[in-house]
Amino acid sequence: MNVIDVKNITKHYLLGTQTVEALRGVSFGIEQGEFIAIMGPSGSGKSTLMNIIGCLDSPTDGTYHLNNQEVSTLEGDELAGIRNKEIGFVFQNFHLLARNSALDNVMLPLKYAGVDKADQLKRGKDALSQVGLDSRMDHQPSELSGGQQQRVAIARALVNNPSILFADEPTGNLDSQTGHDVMQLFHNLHQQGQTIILITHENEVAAEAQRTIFIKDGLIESDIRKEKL
Amino acid sequence: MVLQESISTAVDSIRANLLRSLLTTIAIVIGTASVIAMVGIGSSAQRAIDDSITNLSARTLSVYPSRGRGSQKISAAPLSISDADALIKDKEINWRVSPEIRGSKSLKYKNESISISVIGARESYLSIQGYEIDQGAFFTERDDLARKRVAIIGSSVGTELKTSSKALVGQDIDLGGVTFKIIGVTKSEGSSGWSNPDEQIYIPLLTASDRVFGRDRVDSIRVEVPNTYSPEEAMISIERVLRREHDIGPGEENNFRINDWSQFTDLQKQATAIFSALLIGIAGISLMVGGIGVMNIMLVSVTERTREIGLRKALGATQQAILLQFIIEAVTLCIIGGIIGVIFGSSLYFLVTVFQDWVFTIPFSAILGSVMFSACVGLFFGIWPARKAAQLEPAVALRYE
Repeated sequence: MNVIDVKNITKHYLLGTQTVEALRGVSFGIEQGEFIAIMGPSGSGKSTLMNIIGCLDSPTDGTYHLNNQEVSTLEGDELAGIRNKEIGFVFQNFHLLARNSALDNVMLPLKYAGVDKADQLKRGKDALSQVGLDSRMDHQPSELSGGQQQRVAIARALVNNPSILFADEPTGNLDSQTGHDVMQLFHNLHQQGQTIILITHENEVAAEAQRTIFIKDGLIESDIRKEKL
Repeated sequence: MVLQESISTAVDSIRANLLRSLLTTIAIVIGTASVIAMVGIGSSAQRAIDDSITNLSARTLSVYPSRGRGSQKISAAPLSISDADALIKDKEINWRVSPEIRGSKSLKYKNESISISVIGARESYLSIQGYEIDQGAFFTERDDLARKRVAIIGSSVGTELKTSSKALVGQDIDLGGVTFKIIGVTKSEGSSGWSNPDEQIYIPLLTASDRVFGRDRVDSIRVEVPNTYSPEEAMISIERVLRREHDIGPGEENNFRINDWSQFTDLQKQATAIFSALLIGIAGISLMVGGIGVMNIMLVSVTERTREIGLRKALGATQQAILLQFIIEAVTLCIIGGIIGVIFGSSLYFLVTVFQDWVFTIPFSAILGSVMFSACVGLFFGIWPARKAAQLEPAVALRYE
């Protein structure tokens, strides 16, 4: 069963008087439990595709089914609801709230979901222990290392049990050892059945995924599945 | 749940930029402080005026010689003792009449000499003024008719003569070259604002007229009207008697004037109203300026926190949640300003009451009202920045540098 089904998606921007065609007809499907990397040079439409799959933006044309639900026609608060329930984001620069504790950061999606306080605390703590940070719950981001901050962000992405874990250059701001640790965490999550989409421009990082989609000039250039060893 | 989260986020954000936030609220502080000071001072002043009017008794009218208005000079026909006698003889209203001769004379006792305000009056003066005798007695009608050289002094005259008023009772003093015997002391009354009865000396009217001032012209005639008549009725009667005494023909203007204390009250009320209007103006402008300041700082805050807004939206915050967060921040800022303003305003008002010897009363509704109004200012001026924040595109906001 496909978690994501994208058919013939296009995205046009109006830049001044010029229309920019960022995506010119992209179609693919992602199965439940896949670990997939999306690659492409800057200006390829990779970010635009990511925004659409991540429900941060809507396509100009085409259809996008997420868990068999048509989401390309949704906008505003409806998309906010989808993001909250179905998608967990991990960003290159962590995007943690500086004045909140690790636990408060992790609980934030649950607050917007309207989960009651006791449940928030329980699920927040569970998510933090899942990434091995149970001892740092009350620390503020400034008191954590880069790797730890990224793991808090991953815990936050996982806390609402999303269909897709979406990671945009998750190792981009980390040294290679810490980056490796974070990738290992992704592998563990993948083995537990989590669907993961990795956006990256590093071949080394992309090589960790089972499948790689290359985007170029707003089109899919190649879609390669690794041979299972 | 979202509301509680928004409030704690707002407080966090204000704390993170404490100095900036406090500076922003200064105009709100001034506005609210003005409102509180205005309400407090206004109500205390009103109470003080009401009290002083009650002391004088609103039923007392005063007649003065007219000074003549503008170029049309009315001959300065003086009020005389006979005018007062005519009023006394008129039986239409059973009023009490107290003519007064006032002047300044030097008072000598032993080696001390002071200048003192002398009041020549009838026996009724004491009760019409509401004064009381502390030592000795006031002069009688017989003392007056006999033009006796007796005097009653205010309670602090003795101190000015380097002795005590009590010790002066029974002593002879020299008043403007005439020897008087002090027969009484009044109880301390305190200054009424334009004169201080404690520093005056009271002598019989005819003594004052014949022996001290050498004139039968009086400076004022006070008329105490019984409660069964209105001041207007009394004024008409006084006019009738005095016009007859002064031979004023029909159509001619009065050459005397009657002061009704209620007119004085109206004037004071007007002054208070003008004062209040002025402070309301200051408060209004301050709150307006404060609101614009809050709006400005909220716009800055929204821009600074674009990425945070993007993140919150990516995590599922609805437009309403973001809107609420920023409106609550603006409202919280204004409420803090309002509370500081209430504290400042009450302190200012408290100082004024201490100096003026007024009663300190701030109605709770004024405090609640001004803080609520500050909150409304925050709501009104916070909406636009909050809408800007709520309408940010999450994908764009996340990548904002």
